[in-house]
Amino acid sequence: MRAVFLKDLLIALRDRGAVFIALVVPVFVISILGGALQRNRNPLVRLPVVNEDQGPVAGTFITLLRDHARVEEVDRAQAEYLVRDRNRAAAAIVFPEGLSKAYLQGRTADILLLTDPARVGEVGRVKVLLLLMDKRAAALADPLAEERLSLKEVNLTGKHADPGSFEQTVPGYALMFVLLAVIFGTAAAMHDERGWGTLPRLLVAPAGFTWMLLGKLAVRYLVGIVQLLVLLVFGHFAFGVSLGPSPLALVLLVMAMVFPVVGLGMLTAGLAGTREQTLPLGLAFVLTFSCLGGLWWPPWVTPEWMQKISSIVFTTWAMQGMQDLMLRDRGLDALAVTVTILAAYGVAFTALGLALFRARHSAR
Amino acid sequence: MTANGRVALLVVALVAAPAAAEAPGPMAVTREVLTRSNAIVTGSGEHRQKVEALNTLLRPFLDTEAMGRRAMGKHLDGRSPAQVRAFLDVFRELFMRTYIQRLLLFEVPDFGYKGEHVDGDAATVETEIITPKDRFGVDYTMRRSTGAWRATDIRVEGASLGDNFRSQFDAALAKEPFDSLMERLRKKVAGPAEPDL
Repeated sequence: MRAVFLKDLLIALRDRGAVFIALVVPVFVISILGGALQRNRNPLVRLPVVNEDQGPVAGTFITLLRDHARVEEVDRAQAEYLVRDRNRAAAAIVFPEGLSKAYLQGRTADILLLTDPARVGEVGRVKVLLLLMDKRAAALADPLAEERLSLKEVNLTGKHADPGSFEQTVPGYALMFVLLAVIFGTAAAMHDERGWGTLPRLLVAPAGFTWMLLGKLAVRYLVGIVQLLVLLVFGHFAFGVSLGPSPLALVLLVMAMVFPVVGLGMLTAGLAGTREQTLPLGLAFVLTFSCLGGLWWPPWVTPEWMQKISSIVFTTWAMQGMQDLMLRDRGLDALAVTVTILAAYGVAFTALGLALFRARHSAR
Repeated sequence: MTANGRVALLVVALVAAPAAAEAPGPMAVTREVLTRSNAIVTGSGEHRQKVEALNTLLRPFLDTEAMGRRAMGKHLDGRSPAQVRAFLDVFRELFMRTYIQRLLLFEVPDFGYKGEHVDGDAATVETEIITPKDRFGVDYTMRRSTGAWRATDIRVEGASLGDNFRSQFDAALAKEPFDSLMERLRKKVAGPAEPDL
């Protein structure tokens, strides 16, 4: 027994890469997840405000809102651009012209709320701020008046005024399970060739090593597309989650989303020296990209430094594409940038993974 | 004596002085009060201190008793003297709070004086609050009693604060008894003037 123990210990320690990955990767993932779970305890919502009133009442409200939100005074066009076109803010408040006069005369005043319901959580927080502002408004007005502000909500980005929790969880968790299946499947499949002893034959195959690997990747790509489509269609029929106005746009987006996932699988295979190393590496990628991309929770609940990192990871773009399609009722034309960026990630991951894998195994 | 105390005494002296040839007219009284208000609003000091200073300044200027009787109108008929007194006391606090809070909305109020119309013991003083972007008309309905001019109503942008209160009292008393309304008013007065966000 002692001899077997020593032999297996030596074998385990011989794979220094596996030892390194087993220690460093968890530390990295724990740091990312820990940072995200710290949450933004008092996240300030970005809040564009249009002050068409330019009077004392709007001025007072804006001063109050500044304590609880990142208020940016902009014009109406800029506010709509930030909410509807760039999705940089969940909602914008418009204090209309004549608000102060109406208010001081004791008349109920209209306040306009321009919203992007795809960011339902943030819109809810802005509404809470407005409710509190309404209390303040009542105190500033005649003592018996209860209703001093009338809120008119205008949805700028589609028909879904109040999306439910499934609108976040279905696309988020569907993509996470595709990440799990495709990354592990792809990375393991590449290393299986080595385990089966068929890798040397692939390296000298007439069709070329890269083309052989691309052939293998194509299978994983197809599996990933089918898996994601099935999960989304299930969400549609089981939970009423919208699939957007264009089936063609949905299929194109799903294809674009799965491409970088397969590339990440290839990159995992290229980085891992052995099949055993693919497990912690793949898991690290799945957890990190799920966490940063907003697959588990909306990015705005995480600390600001994490939101900055999130804005460049491909899963964030994938989720934004899904929200554009499902919640903002956008079609093919609105997906052009998202699809291009996802495709670029796919090309980069795949090329890097192929180069690493080829270099690592050609040398042996 | 504090500066606010001196200001209050000055206003009391202005409004309580016996009618004489040199007695200040409604415009002069209003101008004096608003000038002092401006100094308080734009001066240093915390919000609460400003509210207290304005309260002291405006109390002799605003005839809240006349305003309260007008606002409650026929609903005071048949009430006991104690009930009437209790209402007028609560109304004074409410009106002062309402007016002061509106005044404090303007961070740097600049008052303009358009003119006065005197008709015996009644007068109207037309003023405006000038902001960088707009002007807000504020007219004071004044009445001279025991030689002093005091405001019995304030119209902001043409809307009378007294009428506003009256319509609210009418609406409230159509749905609830007098005592219930009094209880609500007392709670309002006892509660915070400005809830924090």
